[in-house]
Parts: sequence; structure tokens; C-alpha cells
Amino acid sequence: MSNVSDDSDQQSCFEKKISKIMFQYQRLSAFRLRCSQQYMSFNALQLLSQRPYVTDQSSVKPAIELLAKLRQETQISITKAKEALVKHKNDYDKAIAWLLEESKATGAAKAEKLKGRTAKEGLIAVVTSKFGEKFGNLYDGGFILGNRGAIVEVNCETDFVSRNALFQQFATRVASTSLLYSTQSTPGLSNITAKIAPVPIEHLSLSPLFPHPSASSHAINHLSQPASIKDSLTELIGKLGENISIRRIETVNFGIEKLSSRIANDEGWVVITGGYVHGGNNAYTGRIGAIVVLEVRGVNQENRILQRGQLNYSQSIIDILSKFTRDLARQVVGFNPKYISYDHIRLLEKDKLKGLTVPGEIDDSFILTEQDFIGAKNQLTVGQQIKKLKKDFYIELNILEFKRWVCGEDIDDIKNIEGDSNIEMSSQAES
Amino acid sequence: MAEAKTGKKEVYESSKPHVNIATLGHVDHGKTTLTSAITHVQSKKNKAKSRKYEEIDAAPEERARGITIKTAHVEYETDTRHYALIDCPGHADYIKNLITGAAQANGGIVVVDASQGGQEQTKEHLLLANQVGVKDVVVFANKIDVVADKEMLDLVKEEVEGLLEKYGFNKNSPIIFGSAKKALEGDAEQEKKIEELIDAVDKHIPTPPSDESKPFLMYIEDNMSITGRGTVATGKVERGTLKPGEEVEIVGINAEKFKTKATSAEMFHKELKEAKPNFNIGVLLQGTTREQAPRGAALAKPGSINAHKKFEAQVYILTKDEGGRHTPFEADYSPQFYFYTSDISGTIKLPEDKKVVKPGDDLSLQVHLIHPVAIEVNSAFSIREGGRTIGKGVVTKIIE
Repeated sequence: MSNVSDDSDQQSCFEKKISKIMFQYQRLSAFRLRCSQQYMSFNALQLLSQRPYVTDQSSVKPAIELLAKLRQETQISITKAKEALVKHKNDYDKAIAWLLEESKATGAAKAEKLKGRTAKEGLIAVVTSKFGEKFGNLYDGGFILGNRGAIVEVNCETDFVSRNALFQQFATRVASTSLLYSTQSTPGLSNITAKIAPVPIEHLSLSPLFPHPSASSHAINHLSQPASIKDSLTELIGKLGENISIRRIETVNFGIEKLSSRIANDEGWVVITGGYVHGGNNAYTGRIGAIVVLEVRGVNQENRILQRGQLNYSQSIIDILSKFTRDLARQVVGFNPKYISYDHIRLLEKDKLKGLTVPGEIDDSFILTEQDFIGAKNQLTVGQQIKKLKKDFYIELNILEFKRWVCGEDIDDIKNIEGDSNIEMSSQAES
Repeated sequence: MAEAKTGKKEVYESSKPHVNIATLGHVDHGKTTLTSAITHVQSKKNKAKSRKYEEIDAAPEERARGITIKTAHVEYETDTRHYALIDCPGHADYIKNLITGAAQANGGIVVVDASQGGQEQTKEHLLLANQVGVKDVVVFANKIDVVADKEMLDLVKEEVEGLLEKYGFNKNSPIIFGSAKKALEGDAEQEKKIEELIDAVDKHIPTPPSDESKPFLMYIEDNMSITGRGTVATGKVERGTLKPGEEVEIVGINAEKFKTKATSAEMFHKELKEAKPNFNIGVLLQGTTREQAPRGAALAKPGSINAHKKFEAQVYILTKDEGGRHTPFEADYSPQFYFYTSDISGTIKLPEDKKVVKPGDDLSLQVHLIHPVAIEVNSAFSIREGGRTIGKGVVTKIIE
């Protein structure tokens, strides 16, 4: 890309995008929110009708029952909950509205206080979308070829907090939200060639926090409007009382333009993503996480998975691909490969700019395609398994890139390389 | 006790029973301040060495049974018992503590910030206490200097009780309201509160039974037959006592139990009147063949322990740096399980949602052994592969 647009241009373009996202999100979740708001006021009404409080104007005492209820709903500190009730003379609805406003301020104060403390515990969250699933401001009438994924790291101070459900939910929802960036080129980073690209956290922080991938309507925190990631984070810090920060986000990124041109030339071409996390107690978060991105094409007309202009997935092929990509991500988590294949290494060697230190004799165990495949019962290597899929189902698979993150790795070093994004970029292909 | 002041080693030699107490609670709720306050209050009675906050806060790394654990120990004593307060920075460290048996917690002090309340910030700590086998807890609701309101404290109490009940603890566990900070500053009223807490721990948390008072158990290391008399089985007494003439049972390895009589017990070729825990002894078993007393089997008080093949365990898989595996393993992995004196082959069954186990993981899993072995809940074992230890575990539930 030759034209280097200036910052303000990118910024305004970015803002437009965000507002568009906001609009879409609100439309998407308006119904759910309406439901939950109704539920909330119904709840409060019920409570009030059960126990009508005669509020004494002169000395307002917090109604203990309401206080307990408020605590349960908001996890706000007792002192704060009391203040809310006293201030609003035990009017539950008003108190809760006030708390919502306040929680930002108190959370922010708490966040400020805890800022300097080391946070190297936490979670890696990985979310992959369903095949053909749409999200974000995807151009009208467009569709996703295959599926996408996002990987994020959120840090806290102790593993007690990382085991907390609220924390796990938050990390997963940040990953969900990051999927937005898998269909648009990231402002300021349009020249990225990597298939899995970092998303600057500040670009996402104003975006509304998306629901958990497994969300049903009740999972949306009805206290918050579609709160932004930034606000949700301060709220979380307020609730859990530890320094919490989003450290890094990367998504499978294919700009729409790029995608369209590929479709035009090559009908059978699809990008698929597999994700896996290890060392957690749910499918989305853990201590180590990986995503793998592959390109797929059907090698003959009959077996191709995509036909021009419309989705034509055969469910059985999708199932096979989903399992394979997930196993592959599991492989990466488990066996920690450094390179994709011998071809990949040759490519890296050619690229002098990388300043790559390829060890003299590279052990096969560092090369993904040469490793024994974890998902195969018959001792095939990953490369052989790919060949087998081609033979059995006429699908040609090519691993484009993978990422493997360990929570808290090099956390002391990260500060040193911050601000020099080139290092991050050039090490892309290595990790 | 005067020796309490003079140093750590001597304290351990105190004749009082020893109790390990885990301090549990959110990082900001005042665990360390409370620990410091306890030593401060007890040091006035010569029952502890006063420890400043800064001295305690560093959790040094320890190596126990080859595993690195971050843990801080602070000691004090009361009129009746000797205590170590254990504090680990993370959940994983407590689990390692459990598995290595380095400092098995006999009870816990749960610290809650009264101005914050319990809930989210305390939940995981109670879950953990459950997991590491802490049955009895005393709660210290800290920082009451910030909340004066009586009604609020009642609410905190109610909430804490609710939490205790929810996570399987006695709802009526003592809850002491106080301010560790004020006590440290010398506030007489708050020092009283700390004393109240110390008393509550004394009364509410039971003394763990001594090894000696438990039923006799020894795992057989070696055997030797003596023509016409029986077989001599050697090993280290794990617990309990044995007097010549007492009945014993040989449990495990062989499918059937075998009951016999211990004609005599020897240590260093000297006849013993009574064998005690940690003695390395040889026991002459009446009318027993070598095959009936194989290595790895337990010699136990009849009926006190049974042999099992299937059990659930909490395990920790050693990292590469700790001498463990370099690569992960999957379900149906078949290493050796080393119980006290012998390796037994078995298979690991992983929970549904776990596909791979990596070095450095701690998790709960099932083990299916090919031979039965005498075990019970809390029996410790190592997981080995070609003679190298790759994991440590402790039995949490017997299945079959």
C-alpha cells in the first residue's frame, strides 16, 4: 500500500465504523435488552410490593432486604449499596440506576488505585465463529466464507480471579467482540500480510461488549446497556477488586476486498479457523490457547464447498473440517510447534529482513506438519492427515498460520517492546 | 513456653499438637495484616515471634517432593496447640501443597473485607478450601473500622453464613468482626478481637489425630521366608503401632486379603515391644509364604484398609524444569503408579471435557490399576514413566 493516510483520517474512518457497529449491535440486541429491562423492573416491583417501605424522610435507613438484593444483583460493595439506598430513600430502581452511573466512577477509581500492580495471571480466550456466521458491519448481502476466530489475553493478579465466572465471561466476550475485526481491515494496519493480525486494544475499547457465544437472553447483564469494553472492564475491576487488563488481541483477518477478488478467481476457496484452549474449566478460556487458520478448496467441481454467490456447505464436510481444525489447534497447544512446514521454513530463510535464527538442524518435532497428529489413531503426521483428507474427501487444505499463547508469558518483557510494533509484526510468522 | 521465642526448629519440638491453618481470602482483604496481627498479639505472651507485614508478604518458593510451591509459613502457639499459618499466592499452589502433603491444612481462617462483603471476591477461596480438604473454618470479617453500622455488619454476617452454607461449610462457624490494622497499631479493643479469633481457632478447628493413634499400616518393601516359621516382611511404619502377637492383614497386590499374626517385630536386629510410626521394621508373619506377602502390599490392622483398583485423584503433572515430561499426554495414557513401595501399571481416564494434559497442569482424573492396592482417600502416589517421576497425586475418591 503506497498511500500513507494521516492519523486523523484513520481516526474518523474508525469512528464511523464504530458508530456503525454500535447501531448494528443495538438493533441486534434491542429485543433482548427490552426483555431484560422489563424483567428487571418487574423484579423490583415485585420486591417492593412484597414489602412496602414507608420511607422516613428525616433519617433514611437502608432496607436490609433491599440491600441484600442489591448486592446480589450488582456485586457492588456493601458500603456503596448502602449509600445508593440511603440516597434514594430505598427506591430500588433509582438506587440501581444511580449505582450503574456510580460503578463507572468507583470502578475507575479502583482501577486507578490498582493500576501499578503486576497482573500476570489470567486467561487466554479463544472464540471461533460458526461456518457462514455473520457478525459486525459485514457489507450488505455479504457472507462469510468458512469461519473466523479471535484470541485474546486478559490478565489479573491471582488465579482465584481467573477462575471466577465473571472474569471468564468477560474474556470470552472480548474475544467475541474482536471477531468484528476479522471482516474489516484494521485502521492503521492495512498493510498487514499476516493471516492472524493484532487488533490494537484502544480500537476495540469503545466497542460494545458482545454477548458470550453461548449466550441466551439472560446472559446479558441487564444492568448494563450494551456497555463498551472499556466500561465493562472498569466495572469488572470494581467487582473483583484486582488489577485487570486486556493484554493482546488477535483475529483471523481477511479484508473484504481481498476476499471478493479471491472468490472471483477461485470459486472453491474458503478460509477456516480452528481454536482450542487448555487448562480452563470451559470451552472458551484457559491457560494456553491457540488458533489455526487454513485455506480450503474443493479439488473438483462436485466436491467444492462453495459455489458462486451462495453458500453450499455440505454438513458432513463442515463437520469433518470443524473437527480437523479443532484437533489441529489442540495439536498446536499440546506440542508447541514453531513452524508450519518445511516450505514455511524455506520461506522464512529466504526472507532476510526477518533476521530469523533458524537453528542449524531443525527437529521435526518443531514442525507442525511433521508432528504425529493428535487427532489420528493411526500414527499419521499432520501432513499425512491432510493428504488423507484430500484423498478421502477431495478437499485440499493448506495451513496458513497459527498462534499459540501462554497466559502471562514474557509479561515482564512486554513493556520493553511496547511502542515498537514492528517487532511484533516481524515475529508474526515465527510464532 | 519459653522455647517458642528462640527459633523455628525448637518450636517444632514443642510437645503441643501441631495444626496447620490456611489463611484464605482476596488479596486486598487483609490476610497478611491479620497474620501479622496474630503474631503481634501472641508475641506479647511469648507465644510467637512478632512478624511485620513486609516480612510475611514474600511467598518464598519451596521445593516439596520435587515440585516448586510458593508458600509462606508463619508460626505461633497458644496454651494448647502449636500453629503454622499457611498462605499461598494462588489456587494452584494450594493444590500442589495438598498433593505433596507439604503442609496439609487442617483448617482455615477466611478473611473477608466487611466494607466489601463476601460474594465474588470470596467464592473461589471457599471452593478451594473444599477442594484441599479443609472442613472447618473460622471467619474474620476485617476492616470494621471502615463500617461502623451494626445493621451492615449483620448483613455481612448473613452473607458470609450464606456463602459458608453454599460451599459446604458449617453455617455456624465462628465469625469474628475486627480490624487487623487497628490491632497492629496497638488498639487494645482490637487486640482483644484478635485474641477472640485465636480462641475460636483453638476451639473450633479440631486437632488432627496423631499418626500414632491411627490404625497400624506399613507397606511391604521386601520379604524373606524363614523355613518353618513364616515370612519376614520389611518396611516403614506409616502410622499406628504394632505389638508382637497382634493380628495383621496383608492387603493389596494379591486379589484376596490374607489374615495372619505378627509373631515378632524387629528393628536393627533388636526385638521391639512396640513398633511406632517411621520405624523401619521387619515383621515375622506366622505361617505366611513370600507370595502371600508381596512387595507393595500393605500390612495393616485387620479391617482398617481395603485394596482398590479404580479411584479418582487430584494430580499435578511436573513441568520439564521439575524433571517431568516434555510433551502432553492424552486419555488412556498408561504410566506406572508408585504407591509407597511399588510401581503398579494403570491407565489414566480423563474427564469428558479434557482431551490433553500438559506438564504443569493440575487436574482431577481417574486411575484404573491392573492390580489392587491398599489405598484410601488422601493416599499419596507418584506417576512414573520408566523410573522417572512425571507427576504427583493424591486419592480423592475410591470408585471400586
